[in-house]
Amino acid sequence: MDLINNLALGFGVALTFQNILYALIGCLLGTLIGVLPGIGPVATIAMLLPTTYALPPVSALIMLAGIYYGAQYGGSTTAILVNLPGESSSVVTALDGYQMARKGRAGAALGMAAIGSFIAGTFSTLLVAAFAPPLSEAALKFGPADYFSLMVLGLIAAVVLAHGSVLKAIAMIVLGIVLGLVGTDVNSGVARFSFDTPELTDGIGFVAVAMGIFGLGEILINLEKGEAREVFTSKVGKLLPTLDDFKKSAGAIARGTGLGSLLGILPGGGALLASFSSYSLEKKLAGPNADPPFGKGNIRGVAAPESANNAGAQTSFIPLLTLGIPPNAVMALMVGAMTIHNIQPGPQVITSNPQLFWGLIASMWVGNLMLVILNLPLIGMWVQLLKIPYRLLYPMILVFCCIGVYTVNNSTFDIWIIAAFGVIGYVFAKLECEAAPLLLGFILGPMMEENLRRAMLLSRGDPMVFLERPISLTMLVLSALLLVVLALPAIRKKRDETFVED
Amino acid sequence: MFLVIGVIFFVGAYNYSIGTAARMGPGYFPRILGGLLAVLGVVVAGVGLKNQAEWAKTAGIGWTWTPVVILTVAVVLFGLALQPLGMIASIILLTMISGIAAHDKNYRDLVIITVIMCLFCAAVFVWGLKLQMKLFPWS
Repeated sequence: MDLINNLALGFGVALTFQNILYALIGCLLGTLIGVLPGIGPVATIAMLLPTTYALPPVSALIMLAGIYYGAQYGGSTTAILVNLPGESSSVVTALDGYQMARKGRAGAALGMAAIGSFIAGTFSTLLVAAFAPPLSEAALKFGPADYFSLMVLGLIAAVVLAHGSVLKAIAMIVLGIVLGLVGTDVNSGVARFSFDTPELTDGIGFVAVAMGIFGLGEILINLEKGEAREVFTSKVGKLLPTLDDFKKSAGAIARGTGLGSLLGILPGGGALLASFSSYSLEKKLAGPNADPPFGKGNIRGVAAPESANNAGAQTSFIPLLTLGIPPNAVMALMVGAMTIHNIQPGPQVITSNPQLFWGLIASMWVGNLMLVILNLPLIGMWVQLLKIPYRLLYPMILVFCCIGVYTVNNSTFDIWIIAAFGVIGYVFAKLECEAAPLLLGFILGPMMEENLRRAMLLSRGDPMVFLERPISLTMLVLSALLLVVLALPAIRKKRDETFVED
Repeated sequence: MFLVIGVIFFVGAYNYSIGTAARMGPGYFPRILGGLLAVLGVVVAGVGLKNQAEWAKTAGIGWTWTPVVILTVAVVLFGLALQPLGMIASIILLTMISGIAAHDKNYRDLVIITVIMCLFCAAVFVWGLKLQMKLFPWS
């Protein structure tokens, strides 16, 4: 069977000593930043991009991917033990996980989170392996008009799934696209919006933007909040959940995995949304008579979101690997990583770089296995790390950001971009505008423009081309539907609830 | 704020030939987006005006500017110092200045972390990855 052969090829790549090592480094780093509140995978991957120059592309991507799903594991540890989400996708885990910890069942919660994550990881790896090839074949039939419509759909979906005001999210996306257009025009070679600054003719480096907003901007917000960290120091307890826990959680893990995988594929989705929705789903299913009630230490409230965020983290690679379109900010950075190594993300990756494609997929499973085996015994060490005060942490993050961005182009100008976007990120956070859509627009903007122009060129300026091609039409209809649905008051209320309540 | 940026890009796009829809010039796409952004800006501002709480936020009430200024200065100085003074001096500047912004300042810790960062970065970036960076002004 093809699938088996391909996976065999993948494991052949992933199981070389070097790649195992980098998967391990990625997972450990991911867990580390997952455990530490105040630094997320976006900033970390941005910081580490430059250090992957020296690596072969497969190893580089394996390591960066490891950071993303490693962070999902790490986040649960902090959520359960400290009642603080180490990672935004673990916010809901804290609700029931911390309550379990207070009842002396921290070990069971941690164990169940890890086991759920592993099951979800295994399933979603298989899903990626099974669905990616047919999808990328379909994607080869896409014309420029189809791509443009697909990106519109992606951006609209990102709005629907973003927190807070819809208008602000749309505005952030448009702003991101506009910022992405700074630099030399691909078609005519005219420098746009460069204000006669030679550094700006190459465009604004997206690594610098990401680090500014998610590194520096985040630090500023955290500094303002001050520190309120209370490590739950009592014993972790037995790590292995009881048979009863397993019985209760099995369904939750299955539902979490399914929902998470689905939401990961959707543009704008990913780990964060997956964990929120699966928690709500589980709560609804359990009803008010759950024992113990949700929010009071029900193990299903830990198992479901943790499975879902891991599944979502992995299936969000599907749109990236097959269509070349990043569904969230982390994947946008992966596009950058691939470009650095001269790989054009898109449907052709699977045929032109099969080792890379299957190696990456296989490494996800290897990484998940490592995370389960390594992290459970290491939990004590991670807890110790939580005692590092933030005042020591943030200068370190700053140094890595600055040096990291400098090494991308050897340009001090990029360091100033960080400073500027740090302030911008802080201002937006205060204005309750989410920054993730901006980054997505920033990455997709130039691609959109190019495809729009190409489509119009091919159709001789007839905009009907977007409606005539069936694929394009479907995408646009879907986008329109999403917007309509969003405008309906009932759904809107529901959406607000989903994000506020938890 | 979106309004302002939108207008800037909209007007800025006048400098570039728009071209026709069939053969778009470099100014076509930015023009559309600038316009869109400006419209969105008006709407967002309109919604905001109705809401008192929104006003307070926009006016900068409850913002803490001190860390923002300190960290920005630290990062900009790092950029200025990196090429002439080398990495070690720049890191010292960056950590020492940014450290002031913490609530619970502790200068002993700050010095320790600075030394660690200097050693670590030298080992990883310069000796390990062999990136093009000088450590000291004279090297």
